[in-house]
Amino acid sequence: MDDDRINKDFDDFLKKRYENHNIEPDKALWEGINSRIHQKKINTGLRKARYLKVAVFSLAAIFSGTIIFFGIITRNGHTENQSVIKIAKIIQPSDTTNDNLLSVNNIQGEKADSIINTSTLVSGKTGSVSNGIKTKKSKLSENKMREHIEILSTKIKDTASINKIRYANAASKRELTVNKINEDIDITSATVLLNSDSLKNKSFALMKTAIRDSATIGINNVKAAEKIKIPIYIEPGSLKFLEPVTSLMPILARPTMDKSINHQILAESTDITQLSQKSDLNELKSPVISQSLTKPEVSGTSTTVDKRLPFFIEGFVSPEISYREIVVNTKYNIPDYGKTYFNKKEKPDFTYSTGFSGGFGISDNIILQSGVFYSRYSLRFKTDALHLVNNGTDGNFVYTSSGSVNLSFSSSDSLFKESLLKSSLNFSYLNVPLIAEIHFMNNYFINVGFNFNILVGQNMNWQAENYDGNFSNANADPIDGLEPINISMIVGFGTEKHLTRKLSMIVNPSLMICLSSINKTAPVKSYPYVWGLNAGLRYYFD
Amino acid sequence: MLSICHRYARSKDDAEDIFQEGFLKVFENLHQVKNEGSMEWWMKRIFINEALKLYNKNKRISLVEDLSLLRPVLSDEFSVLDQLGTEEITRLIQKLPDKMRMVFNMYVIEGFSHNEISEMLNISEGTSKSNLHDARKTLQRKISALEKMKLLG
Repeated sequence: MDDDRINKDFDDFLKKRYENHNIEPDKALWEGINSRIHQKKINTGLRKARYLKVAVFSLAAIFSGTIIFFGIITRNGHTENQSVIKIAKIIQPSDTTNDNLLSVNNIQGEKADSIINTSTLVSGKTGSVSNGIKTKKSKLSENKMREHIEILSTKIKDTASINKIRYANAASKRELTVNKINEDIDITSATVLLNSDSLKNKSFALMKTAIRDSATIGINNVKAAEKIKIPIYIEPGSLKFLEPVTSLMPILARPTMDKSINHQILAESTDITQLSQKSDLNELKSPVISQSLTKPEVSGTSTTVDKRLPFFIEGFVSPEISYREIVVNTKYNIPDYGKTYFNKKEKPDFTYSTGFSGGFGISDNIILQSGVFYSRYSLRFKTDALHLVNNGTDGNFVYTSSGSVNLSFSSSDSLFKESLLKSSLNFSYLNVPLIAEIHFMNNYFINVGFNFNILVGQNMNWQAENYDGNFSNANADPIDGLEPINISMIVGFGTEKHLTRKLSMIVNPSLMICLSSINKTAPVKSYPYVWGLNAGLRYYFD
Repeated sequence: MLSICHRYARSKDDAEDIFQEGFLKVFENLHQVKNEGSMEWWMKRIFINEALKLYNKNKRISLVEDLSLLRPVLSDEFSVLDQLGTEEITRLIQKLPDKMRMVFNMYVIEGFSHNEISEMLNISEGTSKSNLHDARKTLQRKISALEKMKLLG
């Protein structure tokens, strides 16, 4: 009982003592709090900006990937089973009689306005062409037609994208090549042009008009192609294009064409529904003509498109340049000074990464890729901006954005910051990526993914000049408090060049951004980012 | 509030750290306070929480006091207590082992129950009681020792 009473009294006494007890914080403490609040505001802003950047970056990548992916699906992927549709039709020129010619011309006559529009698109000479069309069975003068053809030819050949597209398609072995109709009109180019969205409609109109006009007018020197493959894009689920395409055939099979040749039209895929719904293609269609055609053969086996093989391994090397973004660690009371100081003395450095990866296609256009590679993150130091802090014994501390480094020099001479000549800081990582590679336009891709980076080493090179003019290398202790593993995001854009069916070369500029800091105890948190140019060889397996 | 920090901390530096962290928390979350009447208690809890955070952080490196020099409590301790300034008492409290200091402050000054303390410190109620007992005895011994030193000049 006595104890209880004593305890109670003791407790009450202390409680009473502290009831109104205050200690006034001194000025320095308030200043510290002020600077912390200020810094916190800045850091919150920076953190928000950083998250915003990553979010915007990710969204942009996902958005463009989605657009491209669905664009490809629409063009190629969705029509995989139907896209390589071969409408093989051997037309005997003798089958296409003057009746057909008459029918076409009749239709043209009825739809003169729309034809005029098409012609305008081609030559810009509405008057001359429309006159020729408006007058049934009348013919443009041969000179006019030649002029028309020249314009066409020039227009087509002057298009800068032709060769690129042609080569790109050749690389993927899409045989988009079409024989020439004659020496002036390069249908090869016109056909290839169809792959360009911006020029698709225009070039198709050019081609149609060229074919129609030449046929209608009956210029004798127009030679028809032995084979014409017209790559036309198809709307998903639609096969309407078959009719418009076939309706072209009688036009091609004019008596003016070389009758010794079997003419064949191959339609690979088509977006012609757009055209067919509004253009004169439907209008050109005639019952007479349709009857004269045999049923189109649709064959998936006649494809000339190579499907991507499903598995591959890849070896690559990438020259890189690395730097970092730093965020002041709120655990330490270093206001703006920290960031400014480190930014002043640290500079980007050249590094590299190399490794192997494997991948498999989860669809025609998307490849999942993983593997392992070795990479280095490196920084250079502006030695004249360094501060050496004596550690009290025979060494010096140097503060880096990744942490402090204790240096001990082989020379007993005193060191000044001016005596440091070269210094760099290197971290070695083993990286395990998980990347989605989204292919488009046959040879191009974007890749988006994550890397798990495992720290396997750190190496600091410091070289100093002593008073006697000799150089000595400093021994640097490892930086404490580095994160053993961090996560980064990788985005890139690349191109794949097939050297053989199974072997291809990859060139892939990319950006890797660390999402988590590489250090945890330094006054600033360091988030490296690396620009690289991957060059690799990829071998596909059946 | 700084007074609270001093009682819960081992040293002046620790107290200022707690105060700084606590104040930042208060500043950040000020907009959440709806009832102005509870403001003082709300702030108090923030500072105590910050002190507990520091305590948890330093758990593994807590110092063990050398109590061998202290002799049993004198019967007239309260007369000694009266003569001690609050700062001196605070310093004595600061010298208590971490867990004892926490329990003592929370129970005696803040008025938490053993049940609440056991939840906040993640210890059993029995441990809380025993820590309180030890804290009291230790403090009383320290006060006696202080008095003896004063008497010895």
